[in-house]
Amino acid sequence: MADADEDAALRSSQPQANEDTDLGDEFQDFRFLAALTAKSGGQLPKRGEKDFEPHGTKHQDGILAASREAMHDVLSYTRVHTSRQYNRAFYYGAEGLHRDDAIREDWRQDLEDDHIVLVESARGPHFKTMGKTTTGKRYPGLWLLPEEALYLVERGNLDLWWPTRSSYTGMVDEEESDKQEKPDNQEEVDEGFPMSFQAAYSMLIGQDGEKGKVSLERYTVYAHLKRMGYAVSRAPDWDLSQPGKSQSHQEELFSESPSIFSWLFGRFFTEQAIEHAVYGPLVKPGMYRSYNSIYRQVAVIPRHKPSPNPSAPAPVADDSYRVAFLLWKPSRLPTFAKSNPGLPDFRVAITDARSTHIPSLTQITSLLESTPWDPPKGKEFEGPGKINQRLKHGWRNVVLAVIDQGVISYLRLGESALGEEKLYERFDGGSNLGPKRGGGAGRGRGRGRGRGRR
Amino acid sequence: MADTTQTAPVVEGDKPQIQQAIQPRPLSKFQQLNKLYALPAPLRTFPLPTFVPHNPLSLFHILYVWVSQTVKPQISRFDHLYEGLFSPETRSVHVTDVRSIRGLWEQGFYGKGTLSRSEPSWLDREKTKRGNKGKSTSEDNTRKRRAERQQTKWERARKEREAIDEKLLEEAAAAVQQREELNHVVPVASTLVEEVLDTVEVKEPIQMESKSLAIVDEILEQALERVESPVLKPAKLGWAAPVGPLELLSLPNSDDGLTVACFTEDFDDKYVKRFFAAPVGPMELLALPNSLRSYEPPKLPQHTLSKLPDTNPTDFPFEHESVTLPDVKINGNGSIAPNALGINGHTQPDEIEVVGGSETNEDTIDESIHSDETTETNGTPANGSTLANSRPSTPKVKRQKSVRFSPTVEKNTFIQSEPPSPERAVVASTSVVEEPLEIKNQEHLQLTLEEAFFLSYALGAISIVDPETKAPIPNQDLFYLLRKTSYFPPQLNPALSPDDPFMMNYVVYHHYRSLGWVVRSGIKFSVDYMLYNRGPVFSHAEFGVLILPSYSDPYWTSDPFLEKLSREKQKRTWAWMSCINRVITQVKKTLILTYVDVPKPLSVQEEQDLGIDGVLSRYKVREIVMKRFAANRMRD
Amino acid sequence: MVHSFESISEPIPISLISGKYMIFDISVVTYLRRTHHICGTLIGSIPQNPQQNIFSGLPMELMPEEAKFLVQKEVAYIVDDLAWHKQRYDTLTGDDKKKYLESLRSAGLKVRKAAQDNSKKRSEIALSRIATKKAKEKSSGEGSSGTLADPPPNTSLDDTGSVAEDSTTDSLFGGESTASRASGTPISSDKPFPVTPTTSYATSSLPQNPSHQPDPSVPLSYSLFAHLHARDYYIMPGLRFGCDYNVYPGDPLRFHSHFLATSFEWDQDIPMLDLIGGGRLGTAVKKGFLIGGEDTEADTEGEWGDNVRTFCIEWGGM
Repeated sequence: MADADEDAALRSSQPQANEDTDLGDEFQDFRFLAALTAKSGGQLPKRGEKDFEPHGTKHQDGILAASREAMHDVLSYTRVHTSRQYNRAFYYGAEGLHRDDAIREDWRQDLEDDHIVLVESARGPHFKTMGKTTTGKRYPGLWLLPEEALYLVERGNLDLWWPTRSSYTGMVDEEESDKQEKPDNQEEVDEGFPMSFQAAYSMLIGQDGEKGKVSLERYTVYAHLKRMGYAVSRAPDWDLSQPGKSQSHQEELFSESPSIFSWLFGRFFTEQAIEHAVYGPLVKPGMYRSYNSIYRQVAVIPRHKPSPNPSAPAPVADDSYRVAFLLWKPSRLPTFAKSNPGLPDFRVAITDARSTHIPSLTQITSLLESTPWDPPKGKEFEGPGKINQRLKHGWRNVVLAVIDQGVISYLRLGESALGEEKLYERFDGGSNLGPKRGGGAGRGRGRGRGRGRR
Repeated sequence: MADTTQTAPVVEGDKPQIQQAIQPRPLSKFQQLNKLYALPAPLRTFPLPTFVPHNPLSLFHILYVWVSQTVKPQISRFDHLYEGLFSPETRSVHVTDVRSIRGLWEQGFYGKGTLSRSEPSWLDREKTKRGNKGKSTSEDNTRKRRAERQQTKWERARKEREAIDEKLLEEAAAAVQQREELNHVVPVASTLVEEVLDTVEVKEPIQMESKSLAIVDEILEQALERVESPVLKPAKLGWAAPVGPLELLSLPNSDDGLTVACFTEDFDDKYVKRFFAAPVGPMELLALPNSLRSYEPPKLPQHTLSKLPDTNPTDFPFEHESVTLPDVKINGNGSIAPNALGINGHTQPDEIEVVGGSETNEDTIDESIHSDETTETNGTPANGSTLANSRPSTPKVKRQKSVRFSPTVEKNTFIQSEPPSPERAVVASTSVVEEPLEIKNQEHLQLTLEEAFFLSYALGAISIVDPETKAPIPNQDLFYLLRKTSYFPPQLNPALSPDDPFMMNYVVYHHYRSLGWVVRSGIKFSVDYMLYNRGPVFSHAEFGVLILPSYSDPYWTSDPFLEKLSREKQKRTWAWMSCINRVITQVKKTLILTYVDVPKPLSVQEEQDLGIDGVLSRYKVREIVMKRFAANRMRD
Repeated sequence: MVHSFESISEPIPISLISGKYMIFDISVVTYLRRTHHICGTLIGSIPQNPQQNIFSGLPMELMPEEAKFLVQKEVAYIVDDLAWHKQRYDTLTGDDKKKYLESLRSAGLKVRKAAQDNSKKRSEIALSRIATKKAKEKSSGEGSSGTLADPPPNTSLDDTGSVAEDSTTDSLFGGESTASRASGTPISSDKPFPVTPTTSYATSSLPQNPSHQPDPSVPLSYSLFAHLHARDYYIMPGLRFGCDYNVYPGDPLRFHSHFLATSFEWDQDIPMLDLIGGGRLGTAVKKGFLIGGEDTEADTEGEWGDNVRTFCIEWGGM
């Protein structure tokens, strides 16, 4: 009965429904794309629709041919802007007509360097979560970051143009006719020309830290999250060429005096050290009234104490282990406001599986310390039966998107501290009961956090 | 804490009474377990009785206990230490006396788990087996179920193959017909028609052949896979399974090579040759060529094919002339005898079974899920459900884990006896009729180096004996001995490195042990440790621990060589991480990345000045919990 | 079904954008898949159905291994897309530009006309769509039940249909739905619809190998990739399954993968735990855990990957 049953790999009754399997794990058959759009609620066929191996029947070949055909047809689509909510935009990035040369200064106030796509007239629901409006001017323009622009182009919601000097002014000046000659005939205004989807990729995708561009890894994650409906925005530590800014320690709220221990390990035992024999045993011979007193003698290795305000914070990473995006859940979109989005639900760091290794302790500490203090508080974490939940939640957390050639795996990393939960405290106090019992009377002190070790 | 050691008396009076009060009632299995695994560590405690405010007598009771403990001090450590023998060959500490094995096992030290997995019950099972008395053990049941499942799987595979064959035939016939219509040249058409007729005639026997061969093929394939055979068949070999479209196109379902020709080409190559050539027994397996490149499939005796059609449909052709498959026997009701499963290169089938016997039926659930999944590869859903129905319903041990402990069970700390005796163990294991059989108990406990050192150094509960001198090894020597031994291959005179395998493992082991977790090897789950709350009999492990070294001390970046060295040691790929995380997620556990920050090295003298606790306290342990984040399920 | 991929002529341009290899032309995607067993990874959104991640659209990202393989086989060559576009767009003036705009204009007009016809025939189409759907259900039902039916009829979506269907696609998008998008009246009744072309150049129109790009730099696992690919396996990225490559016996559109392949160096020590993990994971997902490496000492006369040895490890589950 020991680990035999633990080998029962998939113990749930619905192996396919557990979080381990994702539809994304499989390359789906495009013949069923139509099923997604159908009114049926978008039920996809179960995994079993595929075959184990080719067996040489024409029947099988026929299905494969049909699937390929379906894929070809779906992807042959050309983006045609048939909607009333037609949005034209101009590219003012470094590869073409540069923004700061082409656009009057008062039309580009308060912009980030990376706002390089100007939307002529922003219509449609996307702009509720995307873009930045220049402020205080008569003709506010809406500017997009490269990932926002590319995503909208990819969706078929944006017609991105390669501008000329007269592109944008041409339109606006119809009303500002006092300054320039109004063109006699609209046809003659050279507004540039539409860029292809391919051109949008080649202009907007670049390296991390490159101005006016976004790396393919970050863009892929951005688009993936947007397709799920999240509101996504850049995090303060986005720019790898800049030192990280977001040290979200809440110094005012928690002004514990910093301990003398290093940034990595917070505070350790504050009570007097126990004298040990040089070569043990750590548990001195004699009579003990409780396991508590026994186990206290065994504690010789420093334990991590999570703190809202690390006394010596880890250096901010200069590499990809930084928060790149902030996420707000789709369910919050109805009340979402770009100007005042509120605290994000998740923070996402992005790393490329092929060019990076798993993070070192320093990298991971630095990454976690750039996120806010988020201890396991609240009803769902209370009580001695919730030890595991508390430990799994941790005291800080971050989502890490690991990307391998366009395939994304999301991981949640939590700063945990098993030293905060002293299991041995349950060994005393009457019966040595099971972990799930919830503790006997008077033992409801499972939360070791904040309690001194006396 | 000092106060507890000084004071003394014992509760003599109270405890046995409670025990007696409980005794008449038969204990539930769970209570038995609770009693059996009462001590969380090989140490006892002597708490004072509880003070009950409305019962003034309890005050006297407390006083009495306190006084008597002061007068006659008790010792938390057992009178006789457990004993273990250091074994450099196995890099472990062997515990061979029954008392120590049982005691350690029940107090949270499980060793490497060689012969038994749930309890050290090898001897009992062996007796059952030899005496053939009593009911079959749970291992037997599992074995039987597995065999049945295997049979079902083969059956399904066979049906699938049949369906494909039928399809091929049909398509071939259709193609012929088509050509017939197009092609009005009489002679050609007539020959084709003849061929089609052939098809119809031959169809029946051919099915038989494919049926039986598919089964044999399954057996062989499994056997081959077990020995990590190169499963990829180089495309150059004629008999490789048709995998790519090119081969498929060249498969004879177009216009020539119809009917029998089609099957001889397909089947004799793919099945018959392997059927005759593939090794079955351990010896043959050992003799396997290491590379397929050097492997020449023997020529197929031409006559066998013609004989096969004669085979009686209910016979399997295993019995057919030269076709002898040593351990494979198929009994009447179609389930394969256990030995058939033993073809995996082990010399001792018994051992395999013991190791492999998983006694709970969760395994069954698991497997049935598997088989349900298998149906995806074209099987009809009916297969899965039949299987589920035919599964014997055995008590679900797992359920018991969620049972709440009864508060009436005696308190652990009141157990006056020494660690539980072997007799008590029998209670919990399968009921065995004691037979006067002379079986030498071959089972012993192999403590891992960390377990042994923790027992010796931290708790002082074991005495570890030198295999040569038979003298106990003092902790001081043991510390260095184990560190040396932890290298593979062992290093004769290694420099004391602060990140040697033993230190890295022990720091983490000690850390979790000192918090009260029961720590077991995680090798089955491809992690370093599993953490149990109280122990595996009570609950599944919640966490898998992966040890990762960290070199944040400035020493490790103080020169280019060290910097490179420490960077290399921290390098692990994301593919690897993803794999481990997935394995752990699959078994519904959570991965804890346990970073051990390695201090700078010290000289032997410096270490000795610090003492072992001083050395240990230089390490720092940090935990990062890693879980898959289901972004699409977190949207609300 | 005559498709343009049948007119593909090698070598094919691969777009190199910021160190990534991409294909934007669906005909090339289909061609590489059919002819060379190269699947890449589709990483883009599908405009017809942009709020889901189950199906992905163009572009297709190629692994460096795939790009290198195609270049080595002289199936493809690499184009620096940024340089190409800069050069092209900076000099797109006069007649060239007019021609370009005119081509977009006529494409836009065509779609407009189709849309107008479409709205006229709306009711008819609705009826026929129901019919096709029924037929589809029928045929797919037959397909999955493994009966001996003929291959199902072509189930592809026709282009006008998918444009018109646009209105339903946003419904998945919660609060940001644009109900009026497609079904409403377009911008004005006689202007062409604006069009965003997918690709910038026809696959065959580029001057061959305009500026030589270095061969893609590949990881050490390339020989294993080449080895498996040469044996007609289809190969996809493996991170999700904790390996280097996810290896399919046929087109991943139709088949489950067989192996989780991880590459090791010939003399590399492989930690036991790694083998256990891989074996266990592979068995749990019904795939073989495959390790392979190249014997670098062996004769190197043959093709890439010839000196690779592979082993498959299964978890015993005991």
